[in-house]
Amino acid sequence: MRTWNRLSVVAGIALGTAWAGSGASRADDVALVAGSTVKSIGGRVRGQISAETPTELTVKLGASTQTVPIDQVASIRYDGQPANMTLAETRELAGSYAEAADLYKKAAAESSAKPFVMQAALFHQARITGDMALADPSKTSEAIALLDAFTRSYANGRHIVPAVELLARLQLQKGDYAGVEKSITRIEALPRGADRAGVLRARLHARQGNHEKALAELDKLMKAAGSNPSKMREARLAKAESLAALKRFSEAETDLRAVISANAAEDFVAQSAAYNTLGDCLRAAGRKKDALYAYLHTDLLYSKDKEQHPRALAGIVRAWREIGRDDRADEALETLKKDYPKSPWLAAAKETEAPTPK
Amino acid sequence: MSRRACGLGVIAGCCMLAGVVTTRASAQEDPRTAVKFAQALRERGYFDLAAEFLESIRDQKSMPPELRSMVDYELGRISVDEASRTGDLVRRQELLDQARKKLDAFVTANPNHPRASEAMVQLARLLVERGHIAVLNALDFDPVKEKNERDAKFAEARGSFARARESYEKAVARLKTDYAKFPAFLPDDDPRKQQRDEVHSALMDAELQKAIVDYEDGQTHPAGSKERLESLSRGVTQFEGLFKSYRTQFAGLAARMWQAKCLEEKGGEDNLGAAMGIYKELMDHRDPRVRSLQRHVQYFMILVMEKRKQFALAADECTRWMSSYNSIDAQRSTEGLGVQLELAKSILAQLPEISEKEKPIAIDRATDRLKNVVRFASPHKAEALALLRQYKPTAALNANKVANLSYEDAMTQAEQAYSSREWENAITLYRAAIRRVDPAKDPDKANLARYTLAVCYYMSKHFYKASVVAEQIARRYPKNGLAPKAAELAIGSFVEAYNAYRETDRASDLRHVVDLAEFTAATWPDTEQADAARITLGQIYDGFGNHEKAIAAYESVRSGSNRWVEARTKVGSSHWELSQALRRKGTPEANKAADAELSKAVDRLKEALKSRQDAGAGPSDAALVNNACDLADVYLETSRAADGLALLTPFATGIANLKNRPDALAKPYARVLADLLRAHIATNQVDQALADMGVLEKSGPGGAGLTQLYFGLGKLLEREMESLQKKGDSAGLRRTQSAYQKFLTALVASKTGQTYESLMWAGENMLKLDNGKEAGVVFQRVLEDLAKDKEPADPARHAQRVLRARLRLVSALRGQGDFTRAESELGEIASANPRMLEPLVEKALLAEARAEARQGTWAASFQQWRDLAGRLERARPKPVEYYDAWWHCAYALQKQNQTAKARQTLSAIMRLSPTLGSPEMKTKYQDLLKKLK
Repeated sequence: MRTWNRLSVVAGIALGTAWAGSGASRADDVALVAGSTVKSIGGRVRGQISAETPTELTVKLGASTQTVPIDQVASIRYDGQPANMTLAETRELAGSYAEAADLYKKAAAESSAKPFVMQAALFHQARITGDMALADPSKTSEAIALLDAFTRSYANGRHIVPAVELLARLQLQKGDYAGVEKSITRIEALPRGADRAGVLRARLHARQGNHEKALAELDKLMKAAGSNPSKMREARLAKAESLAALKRFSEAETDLRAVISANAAEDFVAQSAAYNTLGDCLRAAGRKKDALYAYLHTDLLYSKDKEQHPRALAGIVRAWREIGRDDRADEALETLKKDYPKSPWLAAAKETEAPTPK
Repeated sequence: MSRRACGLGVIAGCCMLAGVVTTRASAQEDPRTAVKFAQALRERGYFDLAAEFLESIRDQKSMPPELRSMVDYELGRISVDEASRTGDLVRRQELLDQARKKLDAFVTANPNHPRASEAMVQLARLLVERGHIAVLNALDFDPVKEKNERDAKFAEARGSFARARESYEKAVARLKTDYAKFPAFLPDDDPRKQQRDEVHSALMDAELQKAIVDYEDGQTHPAGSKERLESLSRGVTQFEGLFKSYRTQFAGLAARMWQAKCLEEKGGEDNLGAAMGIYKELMDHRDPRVRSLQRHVQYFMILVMEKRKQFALAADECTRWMSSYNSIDAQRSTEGLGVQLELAKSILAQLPEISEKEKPIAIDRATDRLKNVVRFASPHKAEALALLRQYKPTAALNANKVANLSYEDAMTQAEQAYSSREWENAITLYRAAIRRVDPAKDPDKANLARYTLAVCYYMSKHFYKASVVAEQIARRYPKNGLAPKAAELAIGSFVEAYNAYRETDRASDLRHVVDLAEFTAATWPDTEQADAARITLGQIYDGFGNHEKAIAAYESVRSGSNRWVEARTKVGSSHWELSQALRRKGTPEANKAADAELSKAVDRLKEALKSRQDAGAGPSDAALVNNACDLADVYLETSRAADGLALLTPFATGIANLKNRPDALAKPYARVLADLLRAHIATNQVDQALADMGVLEKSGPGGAGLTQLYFGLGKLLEREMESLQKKGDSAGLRRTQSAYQKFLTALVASKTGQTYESLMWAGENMLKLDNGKEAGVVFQRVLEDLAKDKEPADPARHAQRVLRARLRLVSALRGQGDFTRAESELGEIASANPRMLEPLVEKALLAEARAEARQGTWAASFQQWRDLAGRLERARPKPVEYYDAWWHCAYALQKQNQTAKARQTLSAIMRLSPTLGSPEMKTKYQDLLKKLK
């Protein structure tokens, strides 16, 4: 999942910084998620990673071997990974995504002798490009190509599920429904892929206007997910969008506020999507001011999410126009133009502009 | 009602017509991000949304109490931020007062709250904003003609900045202590981390703001002055230090910007180059936090280009800036107005390089920008106005063109004329706009035009026209957003008319004011205008002596109002007046009531004084000084002179130490000195009182203030001499008489601001000091002044004054020994006023003076006095002049060596009237009797 990968990058950087000061390590360093079920010292497993699959890592330390489920891994720092890898992580944190993608590409080229490192670098390059494409559709083809190549080359690697999922989202954005179906089929066959496939399928139904079908799919999924918050989140977001489309605003709002409360306040990926969806829902319900507040949450608190931020800005532009503050709408539109000149959301926001007299 | 406040009120009035944001329905806010979200709204400049959001949190029971307790703090911050960004000085002051209340409420309710230190920082910012207002007011004064007022306002600003600096230092010290309590390292998931980060942010902000205050303080000195250059050099070092300490934080980046600003202002190509380098570095920064700074940075870059005479570049950059920041708020911000000014200047600077055909177009483009700049209060307004007058001098409007203007065009042109203070043109244009709108269909548009028309009438002193137009809005459209302001304007106009036009029915004007003020208070009870009306009512009732009604009016001013402290001062004075009125009744019940009123008077005046001082008012604040004097007057009149002395001494020192004392402070300073003298006299420190007079002569107020001050001193010394005489202190008496004579001479010598009363009083007292010659000159001058008034407002009063002056002149002539002229003058007076007593007395005195000078006989003198006594004998009760006449008879007999007869005369009168009309007269009789033995 994209969230997991983002967090893993952040943790990886923190670890990388710490280790950089303490001298070179001679082992791969696997940081575990908080409260992990894996027994370890200091929340980390150190050793040599001998295998990576979609479900687990195998780590050797001396004579002993330990397996770590992939969902317990927060981040990995490979022994001897190139400096460009660390630099890429830093640039990504600073928001320089294009530069980070280039650095990951370089890191991959420098890591031919270290297959896991190369795989990770190629994945991050494709991932960042894919994330950029969600905000800038002109990059979609490039991103799809990178992700397609990656998923073919590393079908059994640990990154396969998030890579295919991102591919499917890009295909959905592009309107390549056949491509999405294929990707869904691939994900379903993968370990840990069923839930993601379910959400994607629901989004596909919703995109095609079949909201009732989408809701049925999601209800089934949520029943099976139990109380796992991260699994519930995507499903709930998708469900809220379909509920809003069916004008069941109250239910949609309840679900969305539940997502907001259930996820960490600093989880910008979760929160930005939730608030934007909430904004759409409230706007559809005719609550323009409340919608504005929702979009503003994304703009002011979670602008780091480059996929959701332009969506929020577009929502803000529309909301201000409807409230009657064209000056503030124009200000938001300027930001959208300046920061996301190629975003599809810009076109949507421009439609609200008053025509200029000729 | 000050014309500046009135003019600025138009802007506020216009703002009231802008779209009002409706109340947001309360929704379930995430408590984890609520405060951060509100702060982010504030930083974005969405003050209305932020305030609304916070109020909704206050009402949400699901929000944790510690969060709800912070609402007042955050609301206070919002008001401070909004104040710093508004160009409307009236609105700015209102916001600062609101902020103070919220922050004080927060600190009072939560003294140990983690944010209490930050609240101190915000209260320091309040002082900085007050300093900004003082600077803007200073810039409004002409640098040559109104230099003193301008310099005084800059001094006031420096005072505010100095107090702000102290507050920041205290806040920094406290924040450092708070910060040191946290461990050096905290993991991300530690709940204390957020709090520590917040304290750290507040600490950095406080350090930054303190450095900015130093910069601002430097700006109050003239450009190129030693003080400003020193301040800029210090600034470079200080900001550089902050940048190095906090380079990855917003505070560090802001410090970097200010470092560059100081370099830029120091000037010289090296410094400009260094500054530009830093500005470019900041503009290239991708961190979204820097976005709010970049608006300023880009403006500063334009200034560098302009200094380098890269006018075309500067103009382009200005255009880019205005395109990026095209919201109304941004365009009207200080930097927005600065950019527009620079654009105009850059265009005008390029005029020599463009063709003659293009010059008018370029000038129009530039002056359009300048017209926008002059509409709002900002540091750029004066320069813009000067350029506008240079390139677009006032021209008469073409009537045909005006008649064909649409409402919008007429309003736009009217606003420009208004901003340029071209009142007649503005009036014509607003009237044109009114004609173009149907008030039934568009009442808001019509009333906006009417209101600003009324303001123009007021500003051009057409007070009745202003009142008519304004009152129409108030009464016919009470629900209109401008109606309360229109009522206030109407009241102000009537008051000005009452003061200005003495030949009209002034009583009717006053009744109208009362009626309108009562209407205002009743119709919009929760507005500042209602409070202003209540104060006006109080002043009118006080003027009529109806102090109970005045007190009720003042007490009805809302406690949260900007006028509250003024009302408190006035109600204190009203209680005092009522106390005196009750005491004059003399009954035990009235005395008891008087004591109660006195106690209230002191309490109210003290309350007002403390409130002013807490708000940062200093000795240059005339209202504060008058408040202190009001309280001192009460102390002095109630035998608490020591309290008066303790209260006033710091004020006297503070005012004396002011480098540039504005004329507005002359009267209050006079009061302080007069009260100080009274206090010194009352506490038997006569030498100190005389020393006070020396201080006054060296550093006292000039002009009219000095004259009136001497007058007040004279009154005081007269009382003191009487007291010394009674005590038999000859040396003291001689000293005081000498001092008395000295300032009487100074009083008369003062050419300006002499009133009839002060001159007559000076002359009469010179007579008492047997200085008939000088007294004669004074009375002659009085008569000459009175003769100049060909059409006196009150002919009867004028005639009485002439008569009194002539009679005093006769006394002076008598004192000089010029008996012939005196008799000639007196003869005319007596013929014209045969029933008047005073000429008869004067006639007798003249006869006595002749006898004293051996130019007449004592027998003649005796006869004159005898005749006078005869005339007064039938009066019931007998006036004191009757007894005095018999005393003079006895004196004349004594002079004729008819001692026994003299004695008999006196004794006979004493037997018939033991009291002899007054204790003084009795003493006079007894003294003469002693001499006759």
